[in-house]
Amino acid sequence: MKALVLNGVGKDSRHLDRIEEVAVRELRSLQWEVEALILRDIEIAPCMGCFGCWVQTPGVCLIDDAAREVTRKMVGSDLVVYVTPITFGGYSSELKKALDRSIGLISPFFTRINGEVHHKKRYARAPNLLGVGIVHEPDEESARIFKTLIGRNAINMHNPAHAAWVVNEDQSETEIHELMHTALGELGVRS
Amino acid sequence: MNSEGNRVLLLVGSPKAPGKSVSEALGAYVIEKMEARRWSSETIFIRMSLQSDEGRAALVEAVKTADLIILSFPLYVDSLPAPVIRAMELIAEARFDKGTHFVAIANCGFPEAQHNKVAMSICQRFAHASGLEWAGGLALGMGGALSGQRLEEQGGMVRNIIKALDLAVDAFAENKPVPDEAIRLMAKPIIPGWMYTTMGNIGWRRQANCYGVRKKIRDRPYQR
Ligand SMILES: Cc1cc2nc3c(=O)[nH]c(=O)nc-3n(C[C@H](O)[C@H](O)[C@H](O)COP(=O)(O)O)c2cc1C
Repeated sequence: MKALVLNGVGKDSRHLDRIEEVAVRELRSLQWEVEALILRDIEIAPCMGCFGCWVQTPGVCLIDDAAREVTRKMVGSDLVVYVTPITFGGYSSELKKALDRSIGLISPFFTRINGEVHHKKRYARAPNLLGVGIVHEPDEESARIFKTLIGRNAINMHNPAHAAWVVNEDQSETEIHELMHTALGELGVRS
Repeated sequence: MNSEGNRVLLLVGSPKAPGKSVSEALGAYVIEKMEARRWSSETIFIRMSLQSDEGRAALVEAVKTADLIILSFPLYVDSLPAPVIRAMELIAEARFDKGTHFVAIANCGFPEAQHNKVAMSICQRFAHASGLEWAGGLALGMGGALSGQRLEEQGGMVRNIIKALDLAVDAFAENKPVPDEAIRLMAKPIIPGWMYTTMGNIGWRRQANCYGVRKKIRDRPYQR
């Protein structure tokens, strides 16, 4: 089983990398093959909103940079983990720069899911999604928005299972490890 | 509040070029109406402003000197486009505590306006974290039926949008938040849902056809 960990921690909060590192260790201890990408070290241009990835070079973004590889790796994974400082309830800009460039993973064509319009799948199988959001201090509203966002993304990107966990930046390694363990159990992918 | 000398700042959150985005068309309408009420205005395209140190500094400075900030953006992956989040991070770092009113206008590609809900919560949270005063948000669906043209030139389809924005402008001029009626009108479907999705699906095929990839539109280039 392959996991791709996207670390969206910004350059001014590198101390938060340890949370990604615990997540990676937990997955490796369960025999997952893990690749972690530190997005702040990867040059990724912003999406230009052209929909070229749907109508011009279907499935591939027109901008030829590292985002293409990130997207390819997402397709090739059984689990994608977003590690991000919760930023106003949502993702950090470092994580989001990669996600905006990944919509080639789905089809432009519309379908209905739970009474709402979404896009159809492009690939037969999408990875499961785990969101690990980091907060500076307990913040229920931010946690609520973050969990809703992960759930909404999972519908749009057709992730078969998803879970969202919020950790405090000063939580101990043991606690984070416990949270990861529970989250993976929730996803049904502990081993 | 005396409207003389007041300043409105439009932040365009679409990465598209000037003149091309729905976000700009919606925001520009509000700006014109505020100018007619003698507000001075400034428009900043976020993606471009982030390309240089000067641009970033000008962005933060413009936020500092505004009396009303309007962020108009497209919904990207259930949230805001990455450059907009980057701008928010910079603004929150600078934190002004001036209580400047902050309004968000969201448009999305799905027919239902409710897709914008999470992004609106994020905007509200951002305002709170930056010492701005949340003055409400307007959200619409079916953005794919609109264009970057001036709103007045987009036909009868946009009449509720115009009504909504007019109500909002009346409120802004009196330093009031976005009225509920404006939110309701903005969220109204501009054409029937089935028509939007049918035309949308035809549109994707037609565009793919133009690029000679109609048969490839369902390709899976990264299939493992
Ligand atoms: C990368 C990307 C992600 C998008 N994600 C969503 C989404 O999650 N939900 C939605 O309804 N529309 C989504 N859209 C569609 C845009 O919100 C829509 O096309 C909008 O009208 C564009 O506005 P603009 O002209 O101001 O850029 C997405 C578009 C792009 C390019």
